[in-house]
Amino acid sequence: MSRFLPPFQTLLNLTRAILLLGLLALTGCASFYVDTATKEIPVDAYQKPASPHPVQVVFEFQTKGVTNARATQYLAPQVLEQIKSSGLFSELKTTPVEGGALLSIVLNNVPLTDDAFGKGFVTGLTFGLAGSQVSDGYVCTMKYLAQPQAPAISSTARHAIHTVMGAKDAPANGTRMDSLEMAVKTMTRQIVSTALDALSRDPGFK
Amino acid sequence: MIVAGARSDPGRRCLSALAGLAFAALTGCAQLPLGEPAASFGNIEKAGRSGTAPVAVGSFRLDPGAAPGIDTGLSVRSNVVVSPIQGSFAQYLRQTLITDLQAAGLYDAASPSEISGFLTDSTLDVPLDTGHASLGARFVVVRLGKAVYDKELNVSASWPSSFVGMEAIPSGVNQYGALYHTLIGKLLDDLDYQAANPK
Repeated sequence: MSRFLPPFQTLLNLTRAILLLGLLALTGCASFYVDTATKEIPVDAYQKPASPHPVQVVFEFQTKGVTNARATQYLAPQVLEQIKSSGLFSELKTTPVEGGALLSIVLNNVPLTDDAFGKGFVTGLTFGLAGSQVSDGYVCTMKYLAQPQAPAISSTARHAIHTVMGAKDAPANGTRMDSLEMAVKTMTRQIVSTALDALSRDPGFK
Repeated sequence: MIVAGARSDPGRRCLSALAGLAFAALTGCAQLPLGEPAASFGNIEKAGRSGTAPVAVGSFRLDPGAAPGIDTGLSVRSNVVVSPIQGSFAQYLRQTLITDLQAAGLYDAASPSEISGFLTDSTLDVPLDTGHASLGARFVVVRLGKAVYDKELNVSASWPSSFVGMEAIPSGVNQYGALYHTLIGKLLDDLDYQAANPK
């Protein structure tokens, strides 16, 4: 039958197929899972200082160690609000504060799975039948200086987002999220809370 | 023979065009604005060590000797990287400098010392093997009407670039965007700048 389709119809079908293939290659019918190993630590659990000080906060999102300005812009309001409500500081600003306390937060996205795009592309080419999973790692590093000349104390937390494409089982170590946006925001909240908790327990944090 | 056949077949030509269109739609062909400048912790530390006085920030513009296009957009695999600050990379550099100086407590709009800048270089190349980006500016510090510092500074970066546009383009944009803080860090580290603008 297809041999007798008008040339334009054949063209249209082929174009649709190309678009569909490409979309599958790009989205791969993806589902997003936040790793279960790092959980959100409630604010009440932090070791709060007797008299909290004001702090200047600098947040930076990195991709493979390189500043990602757009992701920084996207996540900064959430991260700053979380630190503000942590109870660990009396006031939070993005400019120098009285006393000179400075908190740097770097959230670095590092790939845990080699050839992620290759896997996604194969899933797309097979219309999802050859499912695949890729994982993105995140390392949150906090560095706190109580005063400009004081020694820095630091804390680190790790997390991961697993992306499953096509026909593949959900990862046993993941909680399914409705969207990538929700996955990123949930991961960020959990990893920042973990790093903040570790920082609050450092004997040098006063 | 195949080429001749394709030329003679309007359907195939149209298919090629549509396939190209579909690919373009999928890969973006879009304007990619850099993220708004955010303070760099590294530059706050550099500023603290620099021993320099607070400064005002004057005008920034394209250097008269530079190609006009470098201020307005950078073409990357059919996408165009643009500045979110007045569509000008010179203005993006100015805003990044203000942001870093403010975060370091070294910005004072009423200071008798003022930094101005001229964008001299801005490139981003994302081929299939090694990506490359560069950024340059001539910084001029004027104090009480007298130029006390006038120097061109340049920075660059190279990185492994993927053949997959979805990976290579954002990576290139990040590498290029990071150069703005690197360039300001170089200014803060510059001994001539430190000598020209002491506390």
